[in-house]
Amino acid sequence: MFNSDKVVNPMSFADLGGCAVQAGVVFIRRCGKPVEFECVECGLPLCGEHGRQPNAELETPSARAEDTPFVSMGEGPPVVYCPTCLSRLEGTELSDSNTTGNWNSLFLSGSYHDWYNSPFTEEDYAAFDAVSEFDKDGGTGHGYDS
Amino acid sequence: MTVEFLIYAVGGGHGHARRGLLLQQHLAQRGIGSVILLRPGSDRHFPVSYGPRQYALGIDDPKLVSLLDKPPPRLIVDTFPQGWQGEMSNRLLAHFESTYWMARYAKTVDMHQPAFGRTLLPYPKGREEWGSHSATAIHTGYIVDASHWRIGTAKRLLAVFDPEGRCGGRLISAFSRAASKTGLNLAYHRLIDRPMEAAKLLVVGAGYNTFYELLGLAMDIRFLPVMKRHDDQFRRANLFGLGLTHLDQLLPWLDAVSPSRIDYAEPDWSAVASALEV
Repeated sequence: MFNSDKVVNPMSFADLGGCAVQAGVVFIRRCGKPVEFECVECGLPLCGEHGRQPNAELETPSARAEDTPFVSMGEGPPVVYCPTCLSRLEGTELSDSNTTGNWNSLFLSGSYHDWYNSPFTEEDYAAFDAVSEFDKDGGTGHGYDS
Repeated sequence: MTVEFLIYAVGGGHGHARRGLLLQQHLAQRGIGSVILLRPGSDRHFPVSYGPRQYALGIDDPKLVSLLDKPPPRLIVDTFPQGWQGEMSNRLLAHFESTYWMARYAKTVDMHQPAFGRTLLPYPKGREEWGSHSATAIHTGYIVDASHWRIGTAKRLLAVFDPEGRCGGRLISAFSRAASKTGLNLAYHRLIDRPMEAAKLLVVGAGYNTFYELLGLAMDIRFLPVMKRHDDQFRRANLFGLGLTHLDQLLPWLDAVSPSRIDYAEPDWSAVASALEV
């Protein structure tokens, strides 16, 4: 996957504050910018950059002026979704490529769509990756390498 | 029984020893004697002996002087054409009447590689893992022994087979949670030494022997490859589409009804015999 942003389970970061969207490719980090919205679908805390509205014109954050308001439906607060929920709502097929003009395509899809139901923690992922790490003893006979 | 072959099976893992001992057994069954040269400790899982074993890190080890002083007529070198310590040379090969290279892989063309009389490829034809070989190279099928595996598929069980014990408690717990989400129970094994039944089998490691011995099981199987110094387990597992290289691949696999596959070929011992001229 070569996407730049992905959404993480807010339950893991509820006590950390800030936008819970995770950004980066190699060095994944939590966005952490001040929270302006909560996803109406899942409650994920979102900054102004990562909040999404259905049927809104797709645009990059840099193209959107900082003071451009989110659209309210009537008198209530704006209906804002996190990228994953919006994608699911609109049935958007998210792409792995970050070279398209579709801002949605910059968000990770696939298994992360299921993050609410995922049984895995960040520590689980790390433990899994550690199993495959280079076996320094492999050249001296402790591995099954030959 | 006179000793006809020296089987050079010195290498990093257990695979050299496994192939070498299978060769020695096969030759013994034909009434042909051989000496196997092994790295100390590499044969600890293979206690049964079909002939003399010598231990050294290289064929030029001083304690093997007598072996080179009066060598068997024929030499089989497993995997590393230049030897485990790079000691193999044309001058050394000249001690033998006939020489054979068991070409487990040849990742690069090495101009300094000594010239062996014949090349054996321990793969079925078309299943070589690495590069092209000369047209005269002889395919022997996988030189493995899968006869000891007895695994059924009836139970709603995810079996994790972790022969090197690389999984910690956290990962085993994660596997267990994933299994339970798909209605499976987890069984974790360091050793499979009795008949077992499982719907899915996840193997930690994808070395030559582990992989090809298990490939023949009519099972829904995945391998979790490990980075090794010489072997490329990721490449092997992915050649067959059986690699599980990210934790996010686990649930979709457990949740799916995957076709079992039978892809095991017994060693082609007649090809081996023909190649070795026995």
